[in-house]
Amino acid sequence: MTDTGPVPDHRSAGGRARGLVVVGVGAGSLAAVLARLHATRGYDVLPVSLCPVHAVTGFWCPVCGSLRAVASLTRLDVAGALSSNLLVTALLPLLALSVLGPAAASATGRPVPTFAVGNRTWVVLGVAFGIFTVWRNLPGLPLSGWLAP
Amino acid sequence: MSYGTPPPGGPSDSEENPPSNPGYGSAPPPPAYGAPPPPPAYGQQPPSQPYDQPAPYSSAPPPAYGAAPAGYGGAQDGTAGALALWPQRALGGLIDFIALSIPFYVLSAIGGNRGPLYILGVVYLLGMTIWNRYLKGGSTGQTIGRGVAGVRLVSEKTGEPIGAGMAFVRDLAHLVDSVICYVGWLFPLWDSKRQTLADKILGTVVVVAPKA
Repeated sequence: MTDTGPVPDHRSAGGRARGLVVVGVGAGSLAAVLARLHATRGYDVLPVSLCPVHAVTGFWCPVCGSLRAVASLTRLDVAGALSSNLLVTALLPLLALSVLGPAAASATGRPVPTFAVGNRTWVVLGVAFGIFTVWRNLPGLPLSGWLAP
Repeated sequence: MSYGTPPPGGPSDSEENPPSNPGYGSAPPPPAYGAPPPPPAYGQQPPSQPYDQPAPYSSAPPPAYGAAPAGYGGAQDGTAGALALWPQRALGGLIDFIALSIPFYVLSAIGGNRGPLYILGVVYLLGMTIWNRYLKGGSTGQTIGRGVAGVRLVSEKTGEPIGAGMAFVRDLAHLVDSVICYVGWLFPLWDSKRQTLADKILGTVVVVAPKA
């Protein structure tokens, strides 16, 4: 990505204000969620179980442990995050970019950046998460305890 | 999943795009993800297009991070016909699934469990869903929520609304989006065609349209 310097903001004053409101509300919500995760360490964030798969079947779903991973990161515990959910933690930088990029664009008036993930990548990701899910649910396999949240 | 810079060794995400045409004019090469699709050459259709009309949406993924939106065929972000972004789609969904359900919640809260008001609420919810999501949404592409959000659901191939039956099947297919921990509902954030899994199954896209 090349930085071309300041980009003129062609939006109306109302559009600019709306963009800032959206970013402000989003940043506030994100901060509140992170504070809650930091305080709870990712356990019992809400009174109800967040994952219907785990609640009904007892199995760990592919993204189970994601909140615990982010909670670990708020304590700078990267190893704990990787153990809570290896794949989601590995993808977290891209996830963050996909949210922060549009947010920055909305605040500054630059063109909104977008990801463009094609079907082949989705299939690769699907297979990876499938293997990961089986692995973390089979206690007999090596490392499965570490892969489970 | 590179963000702006094409990965070395070639892209893996452009299998649906026609091969790059090195002889094409003087359009600036956009730094899009992987190999951007060339615009349809004059008088020549991309080989993957079975229809005799210009490719509606299938060959124009939105520009990757940092790419200039202009430069090649296909509608630009924000203009009518462009692929709708996730926030717009989410707004439409929130209106259809939550805002329009409020009368049901109110009626069932007042009427208690299994009372006449509760049954009235269920009838309302069923009727509203069938009319809004399937009859109206299937025939025009715009439900109430999509109309407010300024988007429209159409077939990826024909660019036309998909009809009530397929609209119903598509909502069933949304189960697939939910069963993988609801991540499918977020796919339009990242997908090159801004599709949920239900959209991929049904071959549909959501595009920007004038507000109803």
